[in-house]
Amino acid sequence: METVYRKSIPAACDAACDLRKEALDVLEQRGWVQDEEDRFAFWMALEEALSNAVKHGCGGDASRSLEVELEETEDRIRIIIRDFGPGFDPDRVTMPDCRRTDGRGICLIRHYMDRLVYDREQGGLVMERRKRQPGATPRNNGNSP
Amino acid sequence: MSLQILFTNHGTILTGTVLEADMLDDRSIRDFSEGVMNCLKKCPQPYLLLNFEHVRFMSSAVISELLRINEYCRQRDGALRLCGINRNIHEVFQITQLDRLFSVIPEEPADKALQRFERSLALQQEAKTWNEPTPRDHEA
Repeated sequence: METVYRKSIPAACDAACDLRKEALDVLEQRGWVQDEEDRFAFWMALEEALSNAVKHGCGGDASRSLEVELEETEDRIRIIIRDFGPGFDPDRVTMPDCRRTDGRGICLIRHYMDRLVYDREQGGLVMERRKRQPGATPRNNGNSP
Repeated sequence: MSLQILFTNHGTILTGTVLEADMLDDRSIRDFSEGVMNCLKKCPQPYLLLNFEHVRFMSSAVISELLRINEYCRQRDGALRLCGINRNIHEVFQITQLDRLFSVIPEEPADKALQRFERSLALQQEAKTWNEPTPRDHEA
């Protein structure tokens, strides 16, 4: 895979918000955002993953840093969020009861991305999304209602 | 710039329209929550309609705040209703099963949602008077 973007920032909400916007711009420039559905999916994945990395991976400590890397092939984009934290298994995270106020972020990423793993070798969360063929029907990752 | 919410009173129902929020993210959530709660604290029995017609994106952190606001209203015998939810955000409600808590019609305009809310409150009130015995009932 070819690395097309890499940036390191302090683990703070404001910096993460700016980084998310920048990464979305790169995704758009490189043709990964074909419509509003793509834009929403990438926005959601980046927002939830960065928010988790700041709050949980870095424990809200702005003196720590996190890194975002985008890698691509012709038909697949990979987003790696490295928080250098203890890591977790996203497959063990299930959708909470509808009245609970937390714990939905990972489940939402899983819905909008085609692959989601915590890669200890990479030191972070790895999310992948395949490029949709023009005219393809909206994706369903098995998480749909 | 901080997130702005425009509040208007419609009888017993308070409407809050989230303005100029291209992206409702972590940065604006505190403004959103504080703005709503400051208004709700003035209402002993809050009936709140939140209008998201200008909002394109909504994270799970906003959903958490909506659940807290909903609980606050419910505990005071009030209610929270949502409108102007776009189709992408509506899908998020379905994925997270929030459609079990909130009756949301995608892209429902605020005026239609307000009418629906008023009708449901009127029906609720009517049901209450039907169930409560009047002094005459006791005499009989």
